Amino acid sequence: MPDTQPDAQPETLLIAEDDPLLMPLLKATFRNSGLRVITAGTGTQALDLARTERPDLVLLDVGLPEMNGYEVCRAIKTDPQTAVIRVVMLTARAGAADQRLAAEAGADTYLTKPFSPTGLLDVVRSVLRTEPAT
Amino acid sequence: MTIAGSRRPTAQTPAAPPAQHGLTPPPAKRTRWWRAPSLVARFTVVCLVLILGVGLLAAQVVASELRSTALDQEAAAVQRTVASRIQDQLRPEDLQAPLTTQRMAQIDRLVRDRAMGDSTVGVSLWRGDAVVNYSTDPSSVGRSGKDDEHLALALGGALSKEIKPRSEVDFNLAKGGGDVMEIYVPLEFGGKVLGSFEVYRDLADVDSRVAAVRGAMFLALFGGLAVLFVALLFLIRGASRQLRRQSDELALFAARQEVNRLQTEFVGVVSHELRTPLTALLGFSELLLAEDVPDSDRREWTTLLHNGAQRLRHLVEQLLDVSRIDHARLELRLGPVSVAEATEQALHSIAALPHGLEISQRFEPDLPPVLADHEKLVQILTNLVSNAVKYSPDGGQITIDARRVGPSVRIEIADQGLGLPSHELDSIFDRFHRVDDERRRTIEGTGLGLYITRQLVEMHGGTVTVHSLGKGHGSTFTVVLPATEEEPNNA
Repeated sequence: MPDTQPDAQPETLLIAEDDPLLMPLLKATFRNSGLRVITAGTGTQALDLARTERPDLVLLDVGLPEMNGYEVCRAIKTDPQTAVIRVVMLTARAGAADQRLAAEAGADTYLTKPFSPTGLLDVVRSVLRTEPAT
Repeated sequence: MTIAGSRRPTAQTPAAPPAQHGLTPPPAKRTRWWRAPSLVARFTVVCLVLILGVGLLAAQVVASELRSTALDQEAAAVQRTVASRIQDQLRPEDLQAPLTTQRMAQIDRLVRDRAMGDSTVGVSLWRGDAVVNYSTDPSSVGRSGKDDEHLALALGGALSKEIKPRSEVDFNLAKGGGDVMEIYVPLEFGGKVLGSFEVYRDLADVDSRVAAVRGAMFLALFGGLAVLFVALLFLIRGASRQLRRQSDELALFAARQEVNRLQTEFVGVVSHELRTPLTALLGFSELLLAEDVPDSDRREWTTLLHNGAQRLRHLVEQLLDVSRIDHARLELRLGPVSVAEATEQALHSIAALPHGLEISQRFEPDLPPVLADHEKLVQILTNLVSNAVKYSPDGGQITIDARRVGPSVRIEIADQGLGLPSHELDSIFDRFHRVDDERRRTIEGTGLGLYITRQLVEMHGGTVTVHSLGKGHGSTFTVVLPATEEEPNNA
């Protein structure tokens, strides 16, 4: 579904991250982005918010408690209600295995830590402009 | 050189390849010799059984064949003696009616002159109607032999013999000696068998000759086979050495593979652990540099940047600890340390507790201090408590309990967290070991904390163990350290 929402209504970004250092970093990164930011600290909480808040994009850490990022991503992308939500995965391992896992889970793209805030901002903006992966 | 998480002696392992990055291979597992006896031992046992068995059997078979031949020859010799030296002195009427005293004396003299001696220990003269007419044992005279089948054979004209144990012979014989052979020689007059001349032979001589032959046979066989065995043993030992050398090479190869695997894993784990704090450092510094930041944000971001740097420092310290432990460069400054005080410091260094998690302490009153390095004890307790916190994602209670047990102090740290399956209880203290299951995969860790903890505790002469009622039932770590009566000086 193409993004037809008017500029007046800001797009919503769900940040799912449990690390006490990275959550504030991600919030700070998007604080002037014009996006509405909501946050989740666990995998189940992220999935709940994805279903109730219908964000436009989920920034999903792989290493989440309760449900890991891949499981959350798979749940979002297989549910027709939430399949349009774009997913950007954040992994701490640079490896072909993680890339494959992210792709298999249906993520739109993934970023490897460490990432730069401006780089992340660019990625999120460009993913928001494209069709969601299904 | 220590081997990660191993309590097995290292002496048996093949020469380890040079340790790189402080990594050493785990020891090769050797099965106990009685479970897997060496090729040489198995060969020896089989050969000894074979040699003894074959030797004894062969000697037995040959000896019994030898004996029966010897007995046949004895019987034939007796028959010849009777024919040539006795029979012509006998008359048909000697075998038909009881003898007169005079005739009895004549025959007695004849028998004692010509038949007795050597192995012949007795003689009886049987009438045609199977009654003893004369005997060297006077009490036998008049005895009937109607039921004796061997006598019947002789009275039918055939030479017959019977071998009996000495005790079963129906005849007065001198004590001692071996088995007895009774030989019945038919006595013919004018083509008619009128009676039988019975000779009792003592077989002691024959049997001792047979036994000598059997012994010699056995020795010869045993000796021959033993020589063969020794020759083969050398061959087998050579082959077995070569096999062992090859399997040692294989073990060495496997050990090298293991080192490679550990190194790869090490690089993976460390880089993963580095990435998160590094992201915070790079991210916050970029934000602080690039934007026109309000003061409140600047303060918060600087604090977070500092926290990231702290986390990196912790990781580097852990790696240094492992390196020092591996190269035995860690020194303890031992002194009396209060467990309560060390616990307080450990809890202080742990960040805010997650929601739903509580820590309670139960210290025995008058708990003696332990003999420890203060800083290291705090590190041990910090590791164990933060471990308990980390693996209690659903909250619950963490209990720290300390009491005196004999000459030691036992500290138990129990949680109600994820728990451990029994097969993990041993390896959990291994370097880089991380319990692999769904719920843990998302919990960050280097797999170094418990390794360092155990090494530190053991350097104190203490022990650390873990038990768990299984997955989902929490874990309890128990540290035992030597107690001391000295008072801790409040430094």
